[in-house]
Amino acid sequence: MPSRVGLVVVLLGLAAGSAEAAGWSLKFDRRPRLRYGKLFQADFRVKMQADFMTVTEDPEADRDLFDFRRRRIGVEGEFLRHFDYELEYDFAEDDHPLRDAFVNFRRFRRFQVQGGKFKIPFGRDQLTRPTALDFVFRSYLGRQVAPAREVGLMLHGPVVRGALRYQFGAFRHDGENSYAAGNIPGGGTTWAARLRAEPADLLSLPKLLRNMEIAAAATWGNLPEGRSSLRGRTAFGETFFPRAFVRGKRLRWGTDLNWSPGPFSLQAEYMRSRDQRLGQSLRQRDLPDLVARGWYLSGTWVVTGEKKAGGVTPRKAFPWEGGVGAFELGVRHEFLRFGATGATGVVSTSPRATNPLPTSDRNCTFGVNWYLNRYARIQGNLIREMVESQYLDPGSPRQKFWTRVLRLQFVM
Amino acid sequence: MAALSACLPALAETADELFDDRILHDVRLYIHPSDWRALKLNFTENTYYPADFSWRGSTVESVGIRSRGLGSRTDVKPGLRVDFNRYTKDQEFLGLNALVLDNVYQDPSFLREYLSMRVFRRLGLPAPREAFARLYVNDQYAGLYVLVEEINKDFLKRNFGQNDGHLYEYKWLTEYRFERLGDGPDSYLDKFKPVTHERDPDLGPLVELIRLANQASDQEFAARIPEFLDPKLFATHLAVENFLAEWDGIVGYAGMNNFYLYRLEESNRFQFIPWDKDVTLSKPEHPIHYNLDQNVLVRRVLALPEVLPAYLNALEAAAGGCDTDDWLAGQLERAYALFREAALADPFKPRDNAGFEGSVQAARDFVRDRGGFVRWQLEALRATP
Repeated sequence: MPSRVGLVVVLLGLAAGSAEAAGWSLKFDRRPRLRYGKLFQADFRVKMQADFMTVTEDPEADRDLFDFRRRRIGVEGEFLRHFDYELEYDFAEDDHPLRDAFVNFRRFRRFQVQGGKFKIPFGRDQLTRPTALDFVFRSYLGRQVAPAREVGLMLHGPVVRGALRYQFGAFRHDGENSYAAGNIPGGGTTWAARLRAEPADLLSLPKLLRNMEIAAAATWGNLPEGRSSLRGRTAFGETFFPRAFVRGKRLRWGTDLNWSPGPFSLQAEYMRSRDQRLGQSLRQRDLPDLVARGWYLSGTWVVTGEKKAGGVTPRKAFPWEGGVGAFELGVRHEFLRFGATGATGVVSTSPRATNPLPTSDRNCTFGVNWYLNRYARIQGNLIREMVESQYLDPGSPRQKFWTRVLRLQFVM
Repeated sequence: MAALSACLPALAETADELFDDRILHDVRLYIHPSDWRALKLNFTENTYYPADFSWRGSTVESVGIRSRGLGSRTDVKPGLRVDFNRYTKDQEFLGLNALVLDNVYQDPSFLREYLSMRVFRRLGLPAPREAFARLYVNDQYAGLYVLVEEINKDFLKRNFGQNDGHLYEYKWLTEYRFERLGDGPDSYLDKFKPVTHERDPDLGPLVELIRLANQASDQEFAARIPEFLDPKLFATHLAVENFLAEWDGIVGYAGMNNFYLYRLEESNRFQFIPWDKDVTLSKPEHPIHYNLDQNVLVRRVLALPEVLPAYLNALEAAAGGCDTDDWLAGQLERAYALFREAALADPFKPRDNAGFEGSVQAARDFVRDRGGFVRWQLEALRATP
């Protein structure tokens, strides 16, 4: 706790204490901004999200949950002309409270170097800021297959007139999403590469196809021995595929698409990961690789007509501009399945099963977003989940259930 | 089950053969070495680890095993619960869902648990079947264990011809002797852990039994107790425990311990089932009225006119097994001959070989002396007006 308080003191101290010094200026433009000529700039950010959640037809009967999901404070900016930085801390997070903490050296635009803690470049949904997501929860792929943040070093930059953007990095572990209970890293040194293209710029395609991006990415790394495979969890957080013992290599690959013409958007992503299980049988023989694969397809429509690309900003803010804000409807269908390649024999939920019980979760999310103004948003989602496993009886309440969630969001 | 049958091609054995106590069984577990280390390291936890279970060449894949026991929990020689369907739905072995590999770590003679359950069964009381087994973990000898039938639906079906009643495992938490703790079932739920009908434990009849024991007049108690207990059967259970010099049972030194309670289907009637008798057979001069006046229910049941004679008769019958036909001594010597070599070779047993032999001798002494002592106390009691 003292470290959290200390961080706040440092951030606020930077803002207030130094402002009066010669050459310093403090302005408010959407958020507080502190500058020292062209040598230093700091934008202060606050992000707050609170969720009210209900699960119906849940095996343990109805449950309600209030969750102060994110209470983040951060600072981002630049210094010494060629450096960007970002620092963000989440007071609602127990396991990984320090979110981003990195510096980016951009002296050479095409060969920028970023170091510190940040998101491993894999998975569009995971790489999207939480306050910019179309739905309350990230997709299964974003939450469970993509690696998320890790400490590492990355080379990146735009090429081919900015129509292509590459990222290539090495990371200490496999990302926070794969950390096991007790904050134990789920993997060893991990390499990642991502290539993103804007076809309209690259191939001189019609205007309609502007704001379309396609990307492909991969990660590969070591898996030390341990019960640290990827796991499957429902939207509410119940495990439907538990972690298994693994050792060897983990390989992920995926591809994604994002297209935002006018008030509409279309997104799709496919991902696959493969974990080796060398020497992990009860008699220390190799087991078939564990595979997680999934996809999602989602679409949104800003019914009040604002443009989607770059984020929805209401034409007339509620309440101070006398408007009602902006309204957006969305739907997402997704699927995630866990199993093993070429496994035969008795299916089992054992963490060392030769043939782990293939289990999948299919989910349909219906969403409404109300952008009150540039700072506040209310999201309502209705989620229908179907867990598919031969161990679940058809019609079992564990198999199909609804989750309702309402999120209040404030970002400055 | 079809899949299981595939890995058990010559499955002709039955659970009776698994618990055949005339044979020293060999049980093999195959478990990843890191899991075995973790189980020993975390022996106080109930975490399951996957293993393959093998007996007489039949292998059950992907069973779950965990450390078990209360006072007998140890990392040196873990007591184990084998759960056949932990990871594989509906998997059974010889009709059993689970099995206990008892390390009998509190019994250096290896005899107490086994002989105690034999006496219960001889007196017509349902008790788990048991047999001796050499346990091999990854083909390394892990010691002499006792295979114990778990008290579960399989057990109920075999002993009561039904298994849809309410089964509770008594959990020792504090000293408790059937005192009234409250009107609602919640006051008793932590002590009487439901084993069946976990979501609907329905402790109402138990609460009423406890209310009767604590608050009913003698007249009301006598009139209503048959609805909840067979008083003579209960007295027989108590008699066997006291004959065995059980000081950690229903009338234990620190309150009740080591029993299950089964409420028959569509009935309010309960039956006690013995469990974990590894501190018996230690003191031949254990008084036959040990702690009988301490337990509320025991005190009231034994005060019923026809029940005390039943209790004394059961004690006499148990004592008869000691010296009338040397039945108990015969059981002891047969078991000892069966497992002696395995016990001597057990590197993880609680005492060295001399300690083991000494404990067996102490059990022999108990069996030799106990009958006479009980009979002497009975005569003295009956002579008292």
